[in-house]
Amino acid sequence: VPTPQRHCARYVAGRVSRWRSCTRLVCVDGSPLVTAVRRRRARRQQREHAVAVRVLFSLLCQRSESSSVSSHAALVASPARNCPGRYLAARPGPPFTLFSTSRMRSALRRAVGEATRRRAASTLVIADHDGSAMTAATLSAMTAAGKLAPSSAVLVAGAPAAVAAEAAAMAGVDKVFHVEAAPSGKGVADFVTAGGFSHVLAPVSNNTKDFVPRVAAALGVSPVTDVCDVLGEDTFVRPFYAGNALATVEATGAVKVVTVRATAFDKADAAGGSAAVEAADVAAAGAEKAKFVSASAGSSDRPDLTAARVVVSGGRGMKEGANFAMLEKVADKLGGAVG
Amino acid sequence: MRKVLVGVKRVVDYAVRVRVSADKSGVELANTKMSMNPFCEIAVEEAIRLKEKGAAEEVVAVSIGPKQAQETLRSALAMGCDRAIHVQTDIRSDQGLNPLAIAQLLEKVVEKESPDLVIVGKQSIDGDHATTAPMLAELLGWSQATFAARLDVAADGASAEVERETDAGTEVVKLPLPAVISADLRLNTPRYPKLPNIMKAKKKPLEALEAADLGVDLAPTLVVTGVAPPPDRAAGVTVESVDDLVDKLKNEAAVI
Repeated sequence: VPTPQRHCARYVAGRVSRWRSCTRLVCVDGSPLVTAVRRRRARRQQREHAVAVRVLFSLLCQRSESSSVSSHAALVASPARNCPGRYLAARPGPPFTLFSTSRMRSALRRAVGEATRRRAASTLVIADHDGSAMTAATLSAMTAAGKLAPSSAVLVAGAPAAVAAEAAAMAGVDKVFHVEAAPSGKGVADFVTAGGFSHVLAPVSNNTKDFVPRVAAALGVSPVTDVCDVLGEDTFVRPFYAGNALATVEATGAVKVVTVRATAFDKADAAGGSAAVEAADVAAAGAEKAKFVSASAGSSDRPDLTAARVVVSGGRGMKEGANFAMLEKVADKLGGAVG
Repeated sequence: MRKVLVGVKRVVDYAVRVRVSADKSGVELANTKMSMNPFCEIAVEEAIRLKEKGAAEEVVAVSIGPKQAQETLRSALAMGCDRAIHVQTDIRSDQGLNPLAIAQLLEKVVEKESPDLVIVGKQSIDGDHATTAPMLAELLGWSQATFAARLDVAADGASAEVERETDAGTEVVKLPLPAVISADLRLNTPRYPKLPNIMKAKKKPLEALEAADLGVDLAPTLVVTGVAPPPDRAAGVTVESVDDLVDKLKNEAAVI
């Protein structure tokens, strides 16, 4: 409990220990916080109890706001009138499960069962690559995945083993699944279902815009595209109307398929991780896959606009198109893109 | 190739400045000018050019939306489509109708019409999902080519060559028909329908179907809980000298 609230905690503990059937305040950092407060009969003690419970729960609320605990279970065996459900219901943040009953043992059993059944999100990041190297946008997708779960699995599909090794070096990766052949949407969907993943993330890119909606259709869910903020396990913010409005979207499907705008999330560390690379059994795309014939890249040694660290952009102040050469010189010096 | 199906959508006109409604539940749509999605216009134009080249025999336009979507279909007919199908639903098409539901409704229309090619716009300017083409292709098990900048259908009508826009430039892909193509900006420049064609379009057949009758679950799985305007842009800072600029870029913006 943080220092300013310590005197409150001592007050609560003092009040609480005065009762004959004692209570024990158990605060375990980072895991579901279970507190049992026993019921009192005497009216005066009930009032004290009510005050103690209110102080206690406001402490819990403050603490949960500052920490990143994913779920809390609060077990209060007390009369409904004193039930601090009001505080918990009105409070934003991680969900609280409140059990209020006079039967301690069964309630405790239920609370423990609930805490173990509620698993953290299980995320799979589909790595974006150009066939020979992973793109920097995947690092942004890793940061977004980090907001949902502490570590994620990565799927490298349709790329050689070198890309899988690159993916394994990223921070926040617990396992890399690699399949050399280009997969079909149904194949990846089956892989996601078999692996029990709750979230599938990918950075927005030309390839993922083609492929990830197919995976979502095969999974039977609508994808949330171009997400610029992750608010919770099923709440995302995405721009629409060409960026003139931001919609907060709640995805209620069994699996959330999300494509993430790379510029909205900082890049995760590209080195320092050492995850295991595992061969994945994903069905390859069949005859319906379009055959590549040729490509003509606009030749430019400037970094790609979506992945550049620095973007120099000009507008009406440049007066003429020819003056953009000045911006190009600045971009060359800064190692950035012109856009 | 016998039949081309074109998907069109009635959206807020691209020139309208959209505003978020006061209760933050969506964008203010009452009394705003609505017209066909620009990418859908490009898709219709491409389908009609295929018909004029002789690569297709019939062009059918389909739209999912409220009763007013029939106006959009009439303009598609005025551009040169032969028939139109209107899938009627009053669900809000910019945020209530989910990408999966749209793809499933179009799948039902495709099953009914059996086209050889489906052309849609790459994305709608209201939802900005860009998911209709790939999701429809997956549900049908067909090939797809998104962000098409050039479309050439082979003489035998069994394959098509598409030049696609990529982040770096373009790429050319070859895909078997039937396929789903999504049109990007550079595919063509849509024509303005001439007055005689607009008059003729009033007589062309327009079939209305009920979305609820097509056996698709329209309940949204993506629920928009709030809509907000983007954060206000901070005012720019005028600097006095180049040294000042470099200092600000280095220390405040951390760009250098």
